[in-house]
Amino acid sequence: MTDVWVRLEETIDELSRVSDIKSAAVVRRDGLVVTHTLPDGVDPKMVAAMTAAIVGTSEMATIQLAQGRFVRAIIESDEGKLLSLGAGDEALLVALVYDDANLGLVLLAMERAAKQVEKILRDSAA
Amino acid sequence: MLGDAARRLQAILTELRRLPAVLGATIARRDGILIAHALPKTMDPKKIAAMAAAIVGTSEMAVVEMGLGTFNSSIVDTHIGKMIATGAGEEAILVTMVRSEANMGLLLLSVDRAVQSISDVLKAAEVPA
Amino acid sequence: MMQSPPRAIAPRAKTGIPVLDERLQGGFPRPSTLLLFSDKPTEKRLFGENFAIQGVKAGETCVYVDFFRAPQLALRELKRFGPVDPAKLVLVDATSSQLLLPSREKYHIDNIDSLANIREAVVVAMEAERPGRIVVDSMEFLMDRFPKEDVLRLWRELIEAARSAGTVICFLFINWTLMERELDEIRAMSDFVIEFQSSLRGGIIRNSMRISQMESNGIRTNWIPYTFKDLVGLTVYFPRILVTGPFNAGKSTVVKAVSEKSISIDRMGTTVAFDYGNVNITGIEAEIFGTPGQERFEFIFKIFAREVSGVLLVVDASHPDEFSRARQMLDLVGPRIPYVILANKSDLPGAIPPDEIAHRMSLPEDVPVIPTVATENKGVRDALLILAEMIIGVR
Repeated sequence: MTDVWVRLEETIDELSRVSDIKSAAVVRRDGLVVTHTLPDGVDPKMVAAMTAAIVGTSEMATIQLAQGRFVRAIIESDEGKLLSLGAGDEALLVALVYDDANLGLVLLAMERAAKQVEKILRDSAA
Repeated sequence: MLGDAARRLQAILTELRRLPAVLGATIARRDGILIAHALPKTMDPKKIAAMAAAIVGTSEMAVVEMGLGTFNSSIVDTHIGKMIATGAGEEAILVTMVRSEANMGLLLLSVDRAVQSISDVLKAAEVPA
Repeated sequence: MMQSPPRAIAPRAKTGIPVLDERLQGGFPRPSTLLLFSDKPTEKRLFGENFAIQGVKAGETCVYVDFFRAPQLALRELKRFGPVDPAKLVLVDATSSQLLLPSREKYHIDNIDSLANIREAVVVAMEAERPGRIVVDSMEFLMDRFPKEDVLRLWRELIEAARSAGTVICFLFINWTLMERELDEIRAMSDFVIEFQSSLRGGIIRNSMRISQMESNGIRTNWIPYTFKDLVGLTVYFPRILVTGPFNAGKSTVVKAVSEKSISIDRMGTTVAFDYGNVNITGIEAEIFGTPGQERFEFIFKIFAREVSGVLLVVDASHPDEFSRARQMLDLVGPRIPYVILANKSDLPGAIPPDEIAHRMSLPEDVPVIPTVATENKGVRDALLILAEMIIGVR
């Protein structure tokens, strides 16, 4: 079981190494932290709860608005962006990126990481 | 006075909806109460209002927690289009649904204009102390 | 051999988990036999280590028999429980001889292939040190090497020796090979059985334990989720206590009152997403989650009302018209989750007394209704503690 956590940690470490990404986290869809590279001074539990609220609500809004399938949520602010997307049935992936980030590259890296996270969790449930 | 505000808000939404990329728009109070909408009949504007309030409220808190400056907008990408939620003054939020193919630059300009107008209308409608 | 007079030790052996120790009337009686049992390799060692360290922290001498780790390694790993008086922690060295090294410990097993030698070393340590506690880590090491009848005999002999010394003896055990009948025999030799289980869900490992007293009508707890806190040790941990109830009942105030640190996502006087805080109350760690009360935000429950340990249902005692709404909100959380009612704003004129609230809400007999004044932090911690006891199963 700790093997799952190590693999998830590796995935997030790798994602955080992408130059435009400041830090990242895997959180459970109900708002609990799985693993993260958030800096000290940022409470990972709060980030987890907030990400769950944003994505969960966005998914329900997407359904309400008959807009097909939720893909991702992007929170834009003066000094950076917060990106979150699903990583399987159980988890979410969230990343903090610099304001001038190349979103295309970042999203590609995140989608790859999300697939990895999904696979790791699926394998562990087997 | 309030009826006038309501008419003006509806006009702002109608104007927004005239853009071919815009599928619908809603103005919600920051505590989730519906103020005005221009959505197709199949959608529940009250639910959207509440959800938008939750999204914007949480996003604003998230931005503070993570030291990212000031919140601008939340964009939900779906495989059909986008849902953009942004503050419209102290009391309100504007939610705009757009098609994927939208020209985002032009669109955001229109949204910004709408946000400014909404903010003006609501300020004017405030009962003076 | 000169020995300083033993510091008076408490009549019972504390676990270090206050809620449990209270239910155990101070701790495990002396002497007694504990079985720390698991079907899979999980966290029984952590409880064993915690138990030994809690004893040392309480001034007791504790003997730790470790068949797997060299004494230096064991001591290093035990440091994470915090600083302890090294003189009081006595290790019985079972590995140096396996590694063909001389032992630096006072008590050592020279021949790991001889049950008699093993018994000798452990009994000598017990008789000489007369420890408050002894932990044997772990019995399956012996089951793997020796005929089971011989191991069971040794087991009984060690229990006898512990009884004579007035010691609480704690056996760690994973079962690989025994039949149910033999397991029953071991359980019957024990006064308390502590079981462990681990689950993995969405990338998060949840560890829990439950304590059963073998004597009939003895203590039986529910599965208690726990975690390990650096320099502290084993800590009961509730991943989510939900605070819910009708609009304006005082939920956000409750979350703030009970938490050490909290946030609230609210606009124009109402919660639009959630409140969040964390609390440590008598050694129990919990994350507190407040929902909005307005109906338009009920979708939030779908996101957060998943792994809920317990619910604090907050009602405004002076607004009986909202009691039914409160009851309805409980349904949003799901069945069979322990809950406590907080009759908040109980200081207001017109506040309905708890018994009457229970009656009007048609609550089952045993549901606690606690009067609170959240704005003055009155009654809130009590309510949380009562909920904690219900979740653990000691109330």
